Amino acid sequence: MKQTCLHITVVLGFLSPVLLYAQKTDTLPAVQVRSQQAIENAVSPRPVQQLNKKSLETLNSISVADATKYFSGILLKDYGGLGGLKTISVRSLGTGHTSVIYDGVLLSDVQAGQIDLGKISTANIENITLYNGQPAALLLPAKAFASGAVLDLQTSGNYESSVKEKWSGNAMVKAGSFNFFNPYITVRHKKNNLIQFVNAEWQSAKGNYPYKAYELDGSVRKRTNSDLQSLRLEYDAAWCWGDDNRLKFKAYYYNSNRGLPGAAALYTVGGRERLSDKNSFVQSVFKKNLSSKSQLMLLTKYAYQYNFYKDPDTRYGPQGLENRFTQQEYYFSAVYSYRISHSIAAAYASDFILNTLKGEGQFGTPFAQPRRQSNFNNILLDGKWSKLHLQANLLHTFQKESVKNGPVSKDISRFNPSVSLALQPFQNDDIHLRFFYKNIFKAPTFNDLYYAYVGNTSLKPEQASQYNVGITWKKDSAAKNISLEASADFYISDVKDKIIAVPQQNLFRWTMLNYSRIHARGIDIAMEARLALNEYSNMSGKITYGYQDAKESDKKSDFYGLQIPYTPLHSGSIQLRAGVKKYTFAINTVLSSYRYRLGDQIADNLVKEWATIDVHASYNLSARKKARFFAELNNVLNSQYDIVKLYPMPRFNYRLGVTTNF
Amino acid sequence: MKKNFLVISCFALMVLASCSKDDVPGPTVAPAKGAYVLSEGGFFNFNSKLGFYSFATNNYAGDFFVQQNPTIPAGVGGLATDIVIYGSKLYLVVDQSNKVTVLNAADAKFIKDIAFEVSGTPIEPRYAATANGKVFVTAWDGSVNVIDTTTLVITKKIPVGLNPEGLVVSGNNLYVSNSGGLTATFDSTVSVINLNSLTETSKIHVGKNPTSITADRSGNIYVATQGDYGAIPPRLVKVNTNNNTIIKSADTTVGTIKYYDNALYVTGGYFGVQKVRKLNTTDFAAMAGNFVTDGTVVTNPYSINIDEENGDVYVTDAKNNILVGEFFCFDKTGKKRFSFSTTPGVNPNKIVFIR
Repeated sequence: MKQTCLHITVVLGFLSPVLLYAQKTDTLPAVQVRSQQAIENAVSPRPVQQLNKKSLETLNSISVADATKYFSGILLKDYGGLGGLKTISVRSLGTGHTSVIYDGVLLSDVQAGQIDLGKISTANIENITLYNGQPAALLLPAKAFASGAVLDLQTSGNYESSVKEKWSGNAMVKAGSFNFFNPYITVRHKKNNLIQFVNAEWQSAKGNYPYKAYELDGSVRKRTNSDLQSLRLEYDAAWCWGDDNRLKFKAYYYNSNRGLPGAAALYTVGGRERLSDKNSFVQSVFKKNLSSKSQLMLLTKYAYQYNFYKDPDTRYGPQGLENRFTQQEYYFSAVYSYRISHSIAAAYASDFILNTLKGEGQFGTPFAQPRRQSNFNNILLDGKWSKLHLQANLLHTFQKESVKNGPVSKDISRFNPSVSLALQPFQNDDIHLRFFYKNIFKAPTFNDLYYAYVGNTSLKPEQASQYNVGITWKKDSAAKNISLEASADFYISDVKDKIIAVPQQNLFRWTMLNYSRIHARGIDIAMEARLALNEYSNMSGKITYGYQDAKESDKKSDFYGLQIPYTPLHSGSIQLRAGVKKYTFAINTVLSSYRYRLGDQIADNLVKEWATIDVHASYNLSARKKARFFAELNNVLNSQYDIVKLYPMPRFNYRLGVTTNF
Repeated sequence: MKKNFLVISCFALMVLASCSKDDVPGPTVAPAKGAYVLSEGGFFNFNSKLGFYSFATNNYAGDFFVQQNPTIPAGVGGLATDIVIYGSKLYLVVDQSNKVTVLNAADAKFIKDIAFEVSGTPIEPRYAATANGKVFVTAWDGSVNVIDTTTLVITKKIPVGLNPEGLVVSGNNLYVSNSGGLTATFDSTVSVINLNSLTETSKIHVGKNPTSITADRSGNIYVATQGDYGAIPPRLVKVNTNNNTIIKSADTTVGTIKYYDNALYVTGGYFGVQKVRKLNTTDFAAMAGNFVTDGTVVTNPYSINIDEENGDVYVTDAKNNILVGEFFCFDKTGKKRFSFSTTPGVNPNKIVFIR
């Protein structure tokens, strides 16, 4: 046996067990085994939407948040600009109900309970997949079953089998409006069975975009304190041996500094708050075929996150207001799958997670310094016959918390099931029907429980039940040059004990309470066509439409019967793309009907409907080197819109770039 | 981040309108032509409203400011904490928009905006009081700003304690509550400003986190202190301004306080009982545990003012602080005379009369 030392260039944490492997052949197995098997939406028991790298490029997205606008059933809350917070809520479940997986391991933020998708650049992303419920793979960690929806991100570091040469790489630089500058480089090295990637990316912008203050006097103003500087460094290493055995390691470091411009309103000088983040983690994925019928996967991760918020306003004291928080996570998961028969397989996954949050006391109260220990155990049964695919799982969660100061939240121990099926009702496989039911809970976040004055340790977890019934249709022409797909899913989401901030009449403080119940009904429709006209040219088009009727359904609530804030009844997107010889053109549009912010449904609280059109054009400079020059023209209608009221979005803006392999 | 503002909103919302006009010597005042109802709106929603109730037509116009000033569709601004009428002018103190807006009192037509900032840094004006041709406005940078009512500019800035809130004129002095609400340890003093020298002459120690303040006609001031939201409870304190000593202090939770005709009318604020109470000025005993006698429910009493011509008591109701509010007029025996929704105004926080 040979041992090989890794040459690691960034922060080391917590290495996976024994790095012993047998050196076998030079060639890698043809089948790429990834943590999440991509499953086609047409045959999937639960809706799946995917954007691959080619789509991400022509959609002009620079962050994962931009890309999610093109998914149906998603509500993206975007505070504007490059640096504004961007979070998603799937099917009105709420922001914390979507898990994000990054190359096989979940990202987490137990402090705020939501992942800012604006911080994840698409430069290094190979595909983004949104699964309602959970992904369909057998080898999934238990925690992947613990949310209402999963956003699965795979980077180029996950695609080691596509690396053929000893040294290779890719470089890109983009620049554009508001002093946007974004260089990116990735270098790959392959030797025997070890493949390594290093990539580095810098994104910065002044962000001083003009906006039309249509809520005020209609004058054109400029956003201030809206700048962003961020650096990302990522290292991946993969060893492969035998049939589909893998050991992968990743080290990730992200450092950003941004201004928070605040609401755009009359006479405000403009926010001067600043936010800086340092996020880092190391993770490893180990996969081994124990026999022809069984597989083992082990995941480990250590994450360290630091954030620093400052409001320099001297009314708070000579240094203004400063908050510093440090989060750490230790994660370990073991998954075992066994093929019982030709059609039936089972998997058992067990995860252990430790989360800690350290912070300074605020407003004279010492901070709780909470520590949360979670155990997730999941049993999955998967049955696949020629015309039926059935999946069922049962998840058990155990959560226990301890604090250094003040009261602590109660332990949680819950069972949550999910069942889904996909059925081919007719002889031909063009049409499939599907059904899924999932019940899951979401624990209160550290902010909900322990934040100064607002936190409430008596909070119960939120509970979410989802039902989905859908039909899919897929047809390829005989010559395989035309491909058509369509799907329609009707769903119901029911969220009980929703945690929201409520101004209490009998307490001076706003408190987090389990105050609300949401009942949502919706339809997600998608249609896609792909045409390969000849060997030089191809076209594709996709339309998505979402209808969401999401109402407050707690009869005791003052908002009973009202559409929940920020949820439009209608939303949709259209993507059109054409490639002719060396040219590629795309035109994309996103539309949303009007919404209301929290309060009475009066003109004051109305957030108007909006639509944007983005255009993409690129020219291949060299097919061999995959070198391209491209232009991104965004919001060509120059429309002024808000997603969050009083946080104007940029009007027309552009980016130009060039990318090449080497 | 957002949550910080929620906490600070508590400090803001907790201070309910307090400023009182100079009591006109003797009981005779002209009948009111109308009542202006100010609604501060949601925290950071920038949706303050100025409404007007006309006694002539018995109708309420919810967004009177925009109706009278159609060239200012942005409206009043964000978190308008106070309103005073002095002479022929009306002054709106707009905290989150960092300005005092001056209107013509008779028809609410815009005259001028006075910016409240120091070297470009906003200082958040809070409450106003009037005397000697001047409007005095507290600001959270620890100052009382003196506005000359003829030139409509700030002519002087008087440093007081930390995060001053309510203020009231009594005799030849201005008394300012220094809450210290934005600091970890609060302030506990009331600053005394001599109206001739326009300087702070002394500080009176009253108890932690003083906010709302009112004065009677015998030289006493009454201060509601909110405590530290923990071990130190809210108290009501009466100070004799002849010698600046506390002559009565009681553990009772008061949000806004207004003196009229030998009684104190109080709301419970965020800590206290959600009823309008009428208290005895000597021992703070409740003359009425619930001033309202006919069963009308005021869900969240937010502010009180009294029409001195007839003793009618006006109460604003902030409901759940998110939906639009309501205001009520009760006669002096506590029976409802009329009420109106303040739509589109949220959190109605002050009523003043124009005569």
